[in-house]
Amino acid sequence: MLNMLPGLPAPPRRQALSLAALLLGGSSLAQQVNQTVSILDTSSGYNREMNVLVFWSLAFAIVIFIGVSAALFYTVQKYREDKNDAPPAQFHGNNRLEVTLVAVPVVIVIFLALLTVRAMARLNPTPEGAYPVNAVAAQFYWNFEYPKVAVDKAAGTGLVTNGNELIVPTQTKVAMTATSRDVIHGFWAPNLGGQRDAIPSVKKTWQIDTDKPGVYQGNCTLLCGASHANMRFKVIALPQANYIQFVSAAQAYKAPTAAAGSPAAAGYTIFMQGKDGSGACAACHRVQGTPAAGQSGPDLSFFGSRRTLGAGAWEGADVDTHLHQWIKASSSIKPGSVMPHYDGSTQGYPALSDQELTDLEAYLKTLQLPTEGNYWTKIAALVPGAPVPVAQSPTPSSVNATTSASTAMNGGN
Amino acid sequence: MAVQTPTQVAGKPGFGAVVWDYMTTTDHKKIGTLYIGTSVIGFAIAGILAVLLRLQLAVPNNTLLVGNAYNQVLTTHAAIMIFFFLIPIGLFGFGNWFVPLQLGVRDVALPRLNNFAVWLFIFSMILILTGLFHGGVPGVGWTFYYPLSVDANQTGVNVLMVALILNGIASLLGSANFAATIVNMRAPGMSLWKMPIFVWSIFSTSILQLVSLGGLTAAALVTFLDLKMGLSMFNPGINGVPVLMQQFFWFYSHPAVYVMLLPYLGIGAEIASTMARKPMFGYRVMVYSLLGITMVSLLVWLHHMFALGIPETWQIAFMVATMVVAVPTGVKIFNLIGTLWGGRIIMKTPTYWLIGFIFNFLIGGITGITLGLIPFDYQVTMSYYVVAHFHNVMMFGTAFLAMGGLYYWWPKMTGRFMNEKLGLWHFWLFMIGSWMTFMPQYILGLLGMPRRYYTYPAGNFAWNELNFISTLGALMLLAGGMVWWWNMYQSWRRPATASANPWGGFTLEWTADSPPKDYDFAHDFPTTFPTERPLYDWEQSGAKLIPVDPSSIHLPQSTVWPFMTAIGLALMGYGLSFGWFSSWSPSVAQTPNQLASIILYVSIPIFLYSLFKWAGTPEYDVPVHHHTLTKYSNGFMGMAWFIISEVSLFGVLIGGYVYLRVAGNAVPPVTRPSIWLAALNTLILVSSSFVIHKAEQDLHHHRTSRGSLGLLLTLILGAFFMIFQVYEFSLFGSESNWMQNLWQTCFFIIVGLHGLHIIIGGVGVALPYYQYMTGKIDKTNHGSLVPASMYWHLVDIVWLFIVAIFYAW
Repeated sequence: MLNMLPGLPAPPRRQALSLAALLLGGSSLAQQVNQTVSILDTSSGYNREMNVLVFWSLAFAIVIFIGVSAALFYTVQKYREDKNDAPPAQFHGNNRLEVTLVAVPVVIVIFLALLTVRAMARLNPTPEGAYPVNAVAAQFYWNFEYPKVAVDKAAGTGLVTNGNELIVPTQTKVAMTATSRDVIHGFWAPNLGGQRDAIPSVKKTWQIDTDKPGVYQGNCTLLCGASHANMRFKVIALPQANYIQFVSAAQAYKAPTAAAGSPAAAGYTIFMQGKDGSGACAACHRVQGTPAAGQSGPDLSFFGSRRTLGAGAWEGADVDTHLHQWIKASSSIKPGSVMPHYDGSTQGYPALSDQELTDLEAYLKTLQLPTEGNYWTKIAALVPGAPVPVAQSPTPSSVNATTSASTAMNGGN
Repeated sequence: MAVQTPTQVAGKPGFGAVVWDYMTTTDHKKIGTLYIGTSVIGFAIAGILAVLLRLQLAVPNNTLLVGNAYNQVLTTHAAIMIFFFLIPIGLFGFGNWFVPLQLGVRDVALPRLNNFAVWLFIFSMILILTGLFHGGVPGVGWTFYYPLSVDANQTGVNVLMVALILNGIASLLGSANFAATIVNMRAPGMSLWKMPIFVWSIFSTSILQLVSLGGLTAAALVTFLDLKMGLSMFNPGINGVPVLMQQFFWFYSHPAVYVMLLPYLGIGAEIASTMARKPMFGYRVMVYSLLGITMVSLLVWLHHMFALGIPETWQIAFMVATMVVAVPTGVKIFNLIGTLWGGRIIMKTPTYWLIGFIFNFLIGGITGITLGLIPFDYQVTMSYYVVAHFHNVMMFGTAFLAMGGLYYWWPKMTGRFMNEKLGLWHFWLFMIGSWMTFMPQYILGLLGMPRRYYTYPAGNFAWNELNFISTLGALMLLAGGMVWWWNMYQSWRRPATASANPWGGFTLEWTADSPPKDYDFAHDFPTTFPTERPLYDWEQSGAKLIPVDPSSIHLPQSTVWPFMTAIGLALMGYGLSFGWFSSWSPSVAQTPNQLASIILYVSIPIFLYSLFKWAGTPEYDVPVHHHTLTKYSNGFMGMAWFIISEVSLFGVLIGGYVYLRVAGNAVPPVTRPSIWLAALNTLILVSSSFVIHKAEQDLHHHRTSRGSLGLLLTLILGAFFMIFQVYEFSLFGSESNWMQNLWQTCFFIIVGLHGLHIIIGGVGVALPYYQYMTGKIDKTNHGSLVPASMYWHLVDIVWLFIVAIFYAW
């Protein structure tokens, strides 16, 4: 059962820990650390409304905690045997006190319940005109679809969809609708609002929002299998004008055609047709503007622009170092990943040579949004301190680098 | 075993003799010891697993336990902590030890059933771990949410389901036994309102178990059938509702939180009263609080599922109930402090655990209220905030009183004291260790760390530091646990010198020797009980205990057959988990295992043979007249309470079916079982009810041959019923694919479960028939006729509901 691997844990990176800072979701700390995930981030309207509840419950909590624990310790100190010789008083209770001690909590509870109902009345109905986004969860990735944003006829079919990176406009209520393709998952971007479960064959809609452009962390919250912890996503909140630029570019996006004879063109062929007629990537993955329309894997339309891999398991430079092994045998570096292996170990799927894998990588890296639609470069420019991972390198990494790359994901099960 | 009472045999008995003694015992104290010992071992196993989890999370991107291995450890940690430590040690460990002692009686109502229950409980824990030899234990969380539970990559879910069902049966039998004991067997003169508060807490917990456990059984049963046969109520592929599984599950598992609380509140109140040398503050209010918590806790389960997005009205209703629970719980806390107030508090280890509990539980209670604030709950549910909260109420809340109870009653149970200094080391290591482990987790929750993550990235603000501190705290808890074991061990090696009443307690257990003799008391009690503190009152009034000659006391005789019956059932569980019919699960690890199939077939004769041998062995080796406080026998009383759980099980499943039907998900196929066969079966069953009733009356009036004939006729009618039902099932199963129609799966699950109950009831009726045929029944041995007949009536009544909702509707 226990899969213990050698390798000593690295010492934790020491960081300044300030209690005051913990309670703020402010960006002032962004220089010190990569990012602050916090449910108390007040740039979200949801969190502001929730904070009213937090304030009142915290106020009562402090009063009750201090009052009751003071009573407890006072009683113990006063009446402990070594401090008190008096014979114990044999009384059986005090009805007036009992009634008070029931009545006071009842009043507090009623007050908090009313506040909660008020907050729910404000937060739960999705306002008309909220901007809809679908979150489709599966083991272990997210596809974010924009139901109002159909792909331009000239470019392809379907809805604009991005895997694992959710782009939303700021100052806008976003109506998320979650569902799942397999087990139950949970969507949670703490800086933008509350969780919802993504349930197979069920669609649940709720709202999230933020005022502040930035990059936010999101996670799967319901145990969904081996890589539950590796089912993360990024939320990139763009100001509305920039958001529109992204959406327009995405609508018109047609996956670039690789120059004949280039590695990317060879990769394209493998992607669409597989090798020796089996194992086509297109059977599971969609790439907008190409015949690839598979629905059971994450959408790869903008793969080259993305800066995360494996549903946030790697980001920035790690994407390059892991991509090769990822395509070759994904579950060897991400436990439980359901993508077939391309090293011959999955029946019915071909073994790809390192050259073929590199060709595939080359093709995937060409799948880039035009500059005006690149949300990462935009957010990096707009919010200097934001935790923006570095972009993928334009060319595939060398084979040797990938095989030796040490990784926390090593092992699997 | 960590806790053992010496046997009263002269000289030191050998190891084999002790084991045999515990296998065959009907002594509530030894059975309590088995529960406590198993729980302590469970705590150790699950605690070490928890340390492993924390070591993995000590630093970001760690590789100690990766992916599903982590999930397996996490699942086992939770399942063992909950089902094999925190629920049993209080309810069944201390309950078995001290309910009879505090009531001033010499055993529980049904001592042999008690033996059966404890061994079934122990075997179900072993059963979970057998998953290790069949591909691995499950990695689905102790909550086994559907459809993750039927995920192709999961292993060991079958056996977890079976183990939970068997453990549930053991738990229900134990609960029914307590309820029967409390209603039927108190010292003469002790009214319900003069019972010690701990007995009240066990009474209310038992009722809570009986009412709610059906939810867990239903969830586990349907999941098991889904894995084994493709019979599902949850599969969205055939319009099933995955969330229904969570409804079933939390219908029990929220009340289970209170099963893990109420006995400890009772223990806490006992410690407070004894150590402060005072009466309880507001005894009646405390009892009403217990009952209030029992009632309201049945109506809060939805708060585990707010983030599912269930209609707001429901969420608000359950939020209100959730907050209302805080009121009686708060009363308990206030009254504990009120009990200490004005006393002369003996500051010994149990007192420290009590004070630690009050302080910690206060925080757990407050954070519990915040989780009721729904918009806040949306944010922190499934985050480390929740992890911190429930460990706050369970680990350094109620478990502190499990420790307190152990230190408090240790002298009574063993005749020895634990070392005070080591006890305080244990306490402070646990106190500081818990705070270090779990307080950072509250903050981690606010900082967005989800629970059940085996890894986390390095770059998030404060995650690294907080996780590291939390791991250090877990290591401190481990050290505390080791001090505790050492304390028990060194205490056990010393001679038994404790007096009967070392703390100056006020309840009847303190009149027994330390450790108590087999017969508990060599005296009878005065019959005046002015308050719940008889020893204090009698001291004031000068009333004296009335000595009794121990040789005139008769105790139930030891027998190995309940143990063997439990073995039979456990082997059956093993076989059902890993063997027998082909598995519909796509997982390779769950294809049937030949050896397990053989064990299954072998287990059935073992089970039945042992059961009949049990039924054929009289409870006492000499004729003894039973005295019960009510006009009903203990068998009647035990079965009456147990029936509540059966009603609850069918209620939950039928509720689920009715929901699916009304919501339009479960649509009957065109060809469905016809009403005429069901009508015939109804006729058969209803007439069998009259037959068995008549047989019971005949036997009651010693018309043995007529009565026996009646029992046989009942069995024959039951057999006809089964023949018709098997015919109907085969027909319906071949007419259409049962994996494709939700109504059909509901039909097979619920009607099939009823069919199983006919078989159980039939075996039940066969037992008194066998007893009469072999002349085991006489004036003092009533056998199992009354409960068997009651159960048969229950099964008939359930059938009427089934006819209404599956054949007529």
